[in-house]
Amino acid sequence: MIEEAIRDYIVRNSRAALDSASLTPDTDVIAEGLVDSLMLLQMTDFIEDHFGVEILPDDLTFENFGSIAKITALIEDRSGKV
Amino acid sequence: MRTLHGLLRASAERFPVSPAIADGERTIGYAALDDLSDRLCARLFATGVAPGDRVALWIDKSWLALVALFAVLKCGATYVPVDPRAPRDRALFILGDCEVRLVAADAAHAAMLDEGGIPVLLLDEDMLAALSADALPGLVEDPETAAYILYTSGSTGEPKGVVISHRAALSVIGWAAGAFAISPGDRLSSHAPLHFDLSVIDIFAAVAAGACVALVPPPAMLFPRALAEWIAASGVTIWYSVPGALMPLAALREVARFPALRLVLLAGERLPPALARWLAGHVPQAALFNLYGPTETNVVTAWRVPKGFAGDEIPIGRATGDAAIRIVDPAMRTVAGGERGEILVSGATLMTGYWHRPEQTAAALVTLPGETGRWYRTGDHARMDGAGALVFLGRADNQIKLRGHRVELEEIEAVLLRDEAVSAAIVGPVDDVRLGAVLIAAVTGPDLARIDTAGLIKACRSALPAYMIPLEVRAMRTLPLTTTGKVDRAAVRAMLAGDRQ
Repeated sequence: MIEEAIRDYIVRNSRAALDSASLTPDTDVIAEGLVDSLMLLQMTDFIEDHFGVEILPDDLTFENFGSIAKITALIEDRSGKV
Repeated sequence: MRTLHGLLRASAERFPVSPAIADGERTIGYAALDDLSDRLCARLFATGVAPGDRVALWIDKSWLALVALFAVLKCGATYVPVDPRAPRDRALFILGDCEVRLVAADAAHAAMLDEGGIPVLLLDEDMLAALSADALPGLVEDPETAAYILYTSGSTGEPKGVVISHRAALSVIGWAAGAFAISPGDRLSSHAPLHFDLSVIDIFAAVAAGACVALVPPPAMLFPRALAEWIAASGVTIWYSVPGALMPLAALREVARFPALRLVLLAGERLPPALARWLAGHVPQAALFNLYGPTETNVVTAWRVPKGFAGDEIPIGRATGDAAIRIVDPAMRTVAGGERGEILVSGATLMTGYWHRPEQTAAALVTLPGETGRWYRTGDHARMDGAGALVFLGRADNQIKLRGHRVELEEIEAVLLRDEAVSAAIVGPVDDVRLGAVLIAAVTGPDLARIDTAGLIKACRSALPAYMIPLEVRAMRTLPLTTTGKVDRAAVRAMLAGDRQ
């Protein structure tokens, strides 16, 4: 569910020319230019509103945001702690 | 020195093995940068580039892009950096507008250009390694030649090209290299993309001094912790960027010290006092300067921020180098001390003009009674404080700054108005806790059911750079009108701002 929502968010909001069929959970969304600095901040707003978790500036790392799978893991981790 | 590429040749002779560019794991020395750009210049000549031509650089910022930049200059040609993230239509507009002879592009961008259209030179390491070492016939050195054209947002709905000569660029570089005592031991961060005028000082002031320009790696541009770690580890001594690039560091829990940093230069948008205070505490050894100057003039004022600064507004300071500043009223008369007025700028750093836009150039570059030279009307307002430093007060028109980018709101509105269902469109900046400011658009039309707000955002995506795309488009039954029957911009913007809170 979470993974699908994040994937959908990226497909809808990314400015980069996106072949959505080739976007897998492990695609490097940073290297592919799918997530830039503005989108990263907008996406954290989306995640906070949508999943009720808090994302701090220290959480903005490649380890947390480098792919759909990583973002999903971050949200699952935070949701579990609430 | 007469040209920007002359700076490279001189530093290559004085400091052949000193590092010129640090890009990730790779370091390019001065002799190597000079040699590689010579070879690429010969290749550009061979493909038909001639002095006076425009050559576009559509490539992510990298050591390769900088080799290409110097190669173009050595041809006596003008480099036109195109935003690597620009939508294809906007890039094509720029390439056509300034009639480029050639596009030097990396593979990803070359793939976005049609075969049989504008000639493309594919830049990659293999291509560069295979270039022959034919000697150049000698540098083309004309200080009046256009060194680069930077496209900025235009209120007519199209971006316009700001043409900067070698002479103008060298004036800014000479001031920066001297005022900040840049020496061969310095490392300058390079954060701004090539199409942004901030990149001019970090690249060329470094080359002028025989210092090293260190390219901020992509992950550090995105993730605050990675940026803090890079600044600490890279040994950067001079940081130069928009304030927004450093703001996220102040929100981190713990940040490594930056022991090598001696100078922080910030420009391009309002410097928040909170950032100045964070820097004073975190990097106490580094001097902080607030710089000001539109693309048309580059940096023309500077102010050193004192460590204990406690005010609400950090001044932009006094005229730099050989720039002259006047604060004038609408009749172009110099205002009395302390009064608000428009900033006019004169001096060697001024642009040549807007590319092929004589009316806009004539409106922007004016003469003043009793004064010599051309004066650039910035459209920015300021007043002089008691100590003779200028304090920025905002703008009179519909231009705003978003994360350092110049945005003409009318350019976005023009894109929305292309849709037949839309009869009026107003775009306004709205404060946002996390994003600083976001753009919201209000549109109306005779048949609200025909307005496709998602479609309008899509249209913006294909025509405008990312920072100009409204976060949200709202279809409204009516928009408030002024007494003269025009859409009341101020009222619409106040309404949008109110809704957001």
